[in-house]
Amino acid sequence: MFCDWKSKASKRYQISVLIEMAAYVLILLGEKTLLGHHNPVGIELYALAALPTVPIIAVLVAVGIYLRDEKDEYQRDLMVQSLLWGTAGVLSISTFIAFLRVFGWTGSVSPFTEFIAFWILVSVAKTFHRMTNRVPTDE
Amino acid sequence: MNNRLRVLRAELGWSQADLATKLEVSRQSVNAIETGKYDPSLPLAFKIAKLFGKTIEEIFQETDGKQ
Repeated sequence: MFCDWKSKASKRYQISVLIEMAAYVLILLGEKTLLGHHNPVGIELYALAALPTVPIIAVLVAVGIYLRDEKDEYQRDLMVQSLLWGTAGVLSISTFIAFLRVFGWTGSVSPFTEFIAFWILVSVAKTFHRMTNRVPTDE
Repeated sequence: MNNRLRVLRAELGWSQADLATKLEVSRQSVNAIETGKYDPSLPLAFKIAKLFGKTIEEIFQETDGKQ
């Protein structure tokens, strides 16, 4: 049986991430529509590039706030472990790609691959922890 | 580290969920401590000891040479 207990910090974190991801999608869609009409230059270009970065930074801040506010130290420990798995995975992938380039590979990697790969790996690690920490029926 | 959490809890007729509520942690955490998968921090160990009216040493014992 899965343990569905969620702390206040966990609920706040999930709501915060949902809002930030929704904002990210809306900003991207808005910018895509805008860029279909004209090509921005100068400050406008920088502003358009910076805007979708804001919710991404907000997600990272939300992770930091969760780790600060989570009172259940075991859950906090599992989150830190998941983040470390994500970081280790992304650094390994980046190093591998760097070596490919050094050895003459000329292909390209899509933008944001690292960030997406990081969250996929964190999610996989969290799922693994959830599976291996299933609690038996309460006595 | 070994602990007598499960025994002490059973003596009082508490379920894991009861203990988790009293400690303000998840049942997953209580289970991880009871099964020795996770060693609690000193503040949580003190909280557990206070809850059962015992000293930390009466609940948690060091495993010789294993950790």
